[in-house]
Amino acid sequence: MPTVRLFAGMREKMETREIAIPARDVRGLLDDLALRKAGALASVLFDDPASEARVPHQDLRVLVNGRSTSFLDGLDTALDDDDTVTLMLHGARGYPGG
Amino acid sequence: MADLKGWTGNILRVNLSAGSVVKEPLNEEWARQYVGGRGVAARYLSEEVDPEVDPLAPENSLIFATGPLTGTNASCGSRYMVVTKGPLTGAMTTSNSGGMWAPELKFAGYDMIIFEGKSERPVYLWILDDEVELRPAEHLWGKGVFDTEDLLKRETGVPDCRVAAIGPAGENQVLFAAIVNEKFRAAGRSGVGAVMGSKNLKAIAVRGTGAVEVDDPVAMMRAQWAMKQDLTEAPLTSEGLPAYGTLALMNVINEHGALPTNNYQLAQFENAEKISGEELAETRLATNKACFACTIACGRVSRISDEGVGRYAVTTSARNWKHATEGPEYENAWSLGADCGIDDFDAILKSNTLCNDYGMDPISLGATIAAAMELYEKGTISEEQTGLPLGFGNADALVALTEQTAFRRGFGDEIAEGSKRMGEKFGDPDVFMGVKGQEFPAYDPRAIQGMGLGYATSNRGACHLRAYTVSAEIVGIPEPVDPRATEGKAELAIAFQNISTAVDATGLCIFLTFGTSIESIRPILTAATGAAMSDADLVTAGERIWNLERLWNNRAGLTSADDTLPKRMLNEPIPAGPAQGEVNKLGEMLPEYYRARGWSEDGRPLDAKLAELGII
Ligand code: SF4
Repeated sequence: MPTVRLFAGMREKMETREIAIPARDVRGLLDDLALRKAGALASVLFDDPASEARVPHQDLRVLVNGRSTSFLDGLDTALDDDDTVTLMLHGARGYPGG
Repeated sequence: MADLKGWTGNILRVNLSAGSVVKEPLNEEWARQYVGGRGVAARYLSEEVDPEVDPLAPENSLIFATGPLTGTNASCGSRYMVVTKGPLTGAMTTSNSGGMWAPELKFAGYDMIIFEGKSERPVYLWILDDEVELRPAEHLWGKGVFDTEDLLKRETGVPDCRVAAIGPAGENQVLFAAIVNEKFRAAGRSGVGAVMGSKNLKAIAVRGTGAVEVDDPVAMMRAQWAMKQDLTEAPLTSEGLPAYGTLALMNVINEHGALPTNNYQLAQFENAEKISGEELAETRLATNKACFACTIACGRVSRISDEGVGRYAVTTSARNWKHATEGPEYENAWSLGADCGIDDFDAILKSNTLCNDYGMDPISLGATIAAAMELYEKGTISEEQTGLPLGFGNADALVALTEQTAFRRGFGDEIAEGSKRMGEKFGDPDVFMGVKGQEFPAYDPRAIQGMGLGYATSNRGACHLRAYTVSAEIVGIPEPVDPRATEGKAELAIAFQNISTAVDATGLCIFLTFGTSIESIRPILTAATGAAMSDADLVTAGERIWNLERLWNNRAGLTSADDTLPKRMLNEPIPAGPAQGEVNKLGEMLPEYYRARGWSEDGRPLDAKLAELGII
């Protein structure tokens, strides 16, 4: 089962650091998580949790084995049992600087 | 200054050789062209200091410069920039600090202070509105920053004065000595504290009772309100930074396989979690803290754990509440932690606190100790030379060397020279992980290509704050950019450099740009100064300042050969982790960078570009 690692705000919302989720791709993994913690978590995973469209929230960054899914297959990125998925909420808006 | 508001219109010129203090008008034309702080000071330095000067000679000037928004109600209008020729780099350095000191200088009625020459004896500068004088500081020489501040508050009889001071590191001209204000805010990099020490200047204590006049207070309030809304709506500036500080980055960068470990031999630290923002918040955080007028409050008030107090107690004030201290920032926890293979948070806090008290840049200190650890493990240097076992992970050695370095005792005398000179001395120059003599911060440029270009081309030597392409390459703002690609990185780095420079010049904190943009910042600047300016004009001013700094560096003898990265970054692939196999492909990005900048193939700003920017 892929392992999900959580940090900062995501860790607070899930109340755990790490969780194993039986999912075959990133979409399935986010759906599973949203079901487990329907309230606060679902609203940071998806733009509109009630919508069928399943658009990831703009602040959500998903890494599979340290690589952003933006440069893999997005929500369709396939997952193997020994994969590590990292979920992070960035929440930055400005451009550019820092 | 009749026309331009936001400024006080006055600068102080202090000739330390003559012991004189002269008040003179700020050059308004330069203030318009170069916005403020970093820009205006760079213009003064260009005009007045020979680029080939020895940084530690009396002929070098040391400039403290605020911006037009410093001391206004603009959120994060707390900053000043120290501009001088840096002894670590031989380049123009621009070292930034927040806190309360800079607004106080504006309230006293001054935009900048230019220190020239060298005092025969230690002195400090006392400013209470119009009362400005150099005072003897023999009794402060040898004291740490913490004691210096406490003593000055007592002896001046003005307990609410603000103090910027050097510690023993600056006095002993440690090449990465810092200038520290309010004990925990520092103009940290490139050795500005060593320049201050070379001038026998111990501190500047200031109290001002005036205010900063702005051109259109109503427009200013409106624009500031709009920007504050941006900061509130962005979770990073309203929740992330207040809760975890910059230290939130530790786990983020580690997960990407870009956290330099053991002097950049590895790119992931197995114990990153133990020195992360999450760990600090859970176990050692007392509260967060803000600089002047800041609505973000990323500062950390932390304390040594109960278990750690026995070995790593700290004392920062007479009351010493629960061994409270401040920090660490992400960069410092990395340099004193992961880069040295150290996961003992209390030791990191102790070393970081000593850096504040002794006045040293923790990034260069930690990175130089990491380089020494590599030399030690390779057998290039022995315990006979170091005086203590110096393998990676030795937290006691870190703390001991922090002490020794500030006083140039024992092996600390080698560390005090920085890792470039230390590596050269011991016959292994490739152990230096940095650019232009200055150590890297906390992002492996093999895993984040744009950061490599940003480091290589930074005017003040390796720096994360000059082109934080991490925003795009890791955070994904304004849109995700592949950190492993090189395409488009020249334009990306240039955009970040120009805009960051412009924000620096205003006197605002660069962290604002995690939550807002130049489109929100510019109207505040216009309302404050009354000078008409478009968003594009402000960005162009950033470009102008960047080119001026570069031109001066070229005249100081720096060339395109200095725009490079260590062999390890270019030739040694990351051995393990998510970015395994990656090297930095600087050669693919640098020519495009020069072209896009309008510079020659050997990295010199062309006359056409300088004319376009109004520099010549
Ligand atoms: S964001 Fe942090 S560093 Fe910047 S002004 Fe606020 S407290 Fe200071």
